[in-house]
Amino acid sequence: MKLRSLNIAILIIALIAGSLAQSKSASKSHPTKILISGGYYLPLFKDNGEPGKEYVKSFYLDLYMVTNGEYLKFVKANPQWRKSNAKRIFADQNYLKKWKSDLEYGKDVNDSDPVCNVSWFAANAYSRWAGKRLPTVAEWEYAFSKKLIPNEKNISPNQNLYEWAFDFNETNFQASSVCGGAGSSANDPKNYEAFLRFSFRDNLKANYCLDDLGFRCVSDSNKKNSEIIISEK
Amino acid sequence: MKNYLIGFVPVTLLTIAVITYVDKGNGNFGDEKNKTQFVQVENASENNTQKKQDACCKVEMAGEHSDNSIYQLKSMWKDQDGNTIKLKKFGGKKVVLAMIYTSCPTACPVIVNDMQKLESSIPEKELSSYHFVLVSIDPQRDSPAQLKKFAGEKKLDLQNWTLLAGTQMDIAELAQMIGFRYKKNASGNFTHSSLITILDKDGIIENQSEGLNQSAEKLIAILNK
Repeated sequence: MKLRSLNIAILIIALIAGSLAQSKSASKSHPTKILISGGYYLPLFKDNGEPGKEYVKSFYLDLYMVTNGEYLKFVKANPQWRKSNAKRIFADQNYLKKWKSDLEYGKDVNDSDPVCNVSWFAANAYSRWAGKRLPTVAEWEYAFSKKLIPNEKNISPNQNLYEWAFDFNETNFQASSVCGGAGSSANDPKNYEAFLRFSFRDNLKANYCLDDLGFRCVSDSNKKNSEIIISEK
Repeated sequence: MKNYLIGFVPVTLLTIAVITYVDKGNGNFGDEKNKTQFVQVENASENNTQKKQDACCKVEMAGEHSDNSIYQLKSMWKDQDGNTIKLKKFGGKKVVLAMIYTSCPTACPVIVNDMQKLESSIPEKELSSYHFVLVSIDPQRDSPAQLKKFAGEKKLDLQNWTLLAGTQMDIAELAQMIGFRYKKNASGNFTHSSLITILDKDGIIENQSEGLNQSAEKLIAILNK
């Protein structure tokens, strides 16, 4: 009888331990960023006929694009970036076009949707304010082409936008990435989505504010204390 | 004894189950060779935006320059003597500006030479209404001291010339503003545009010339639009 009581006690302790482990995991079920481990990235375009592998250092990639709600906090704290204050050299006339006014979106714009109609200058200023930065083209392409994102369900379906990169028009600026002959200089001529992205980026100017262009941030990885590690599928 | 065994078996099974569960939650690295790429997920816990605010936004509300002036940039630069300056310091003069790096083996010396041709085409008494600015795109190698050395080698008259060193971000912003493109190669050198930009007294782009080794006539033409 005593033994049975002991067993029940152990069972209860085991159950509590199990549920604690579960709740600990549950509290970590909404990660905001992931560490992309460094590695070699094969750019879309060859470098003087060579594949031109580039090494990308480890970095943290935000899982979500910056939302209207987050951007509102930024413009509240930085009046020079409000819709009516932004200088045209930093953001064209379509800056925050869908927002009703400086500090209101209006009913057609959701808090949790990615902010669009923001320029490269604005995206950079937001990133600095948030203690982060914009990804480079190499970082973005490396992370997404390798499908390093652990759980795609984490990424909202509304996030179907092009994204700013820090060096958006620095890649391959001498060869045309837009013309028909561009295929001959590509490492993977069948990667049409990448062609679309490169061609899109190549035609941007830094003060453009477009309906289908938003951004996400990255940050440098100099700390090693991340909690959950997920293997590539 | 029988009672003991009956109790012990489920506890053991449960304990194994819990251990397995926790192990899964932390990820399984049993097969490292096939998983050279892996990602770490960090918990949602960062809200450090407040303290970072002062580091942001060098773009201030400035009423004194027009909306399309590059003097809207409030970035701080170091000149060849190590002084900290803003670009708007050059306001009031017509500015001839190029982005270069001093260890450039090819294009940049030619760009500087083209700018010197321009300088020598301006009558001496008018020279004080112009300023020549070289902005380095190589923050790693072009310190103010290196810029000063370069100015000496090229015999630049520092009355009329200023050489600037800045951060990667400030260089990128200025480059985007004037449409200058550059990319660092694996060798540490850059592929870049060859661009001379003329700014009016208010910092608005008045004219640009793309290309190398231009004739004096063509260069003077960009000055006088």
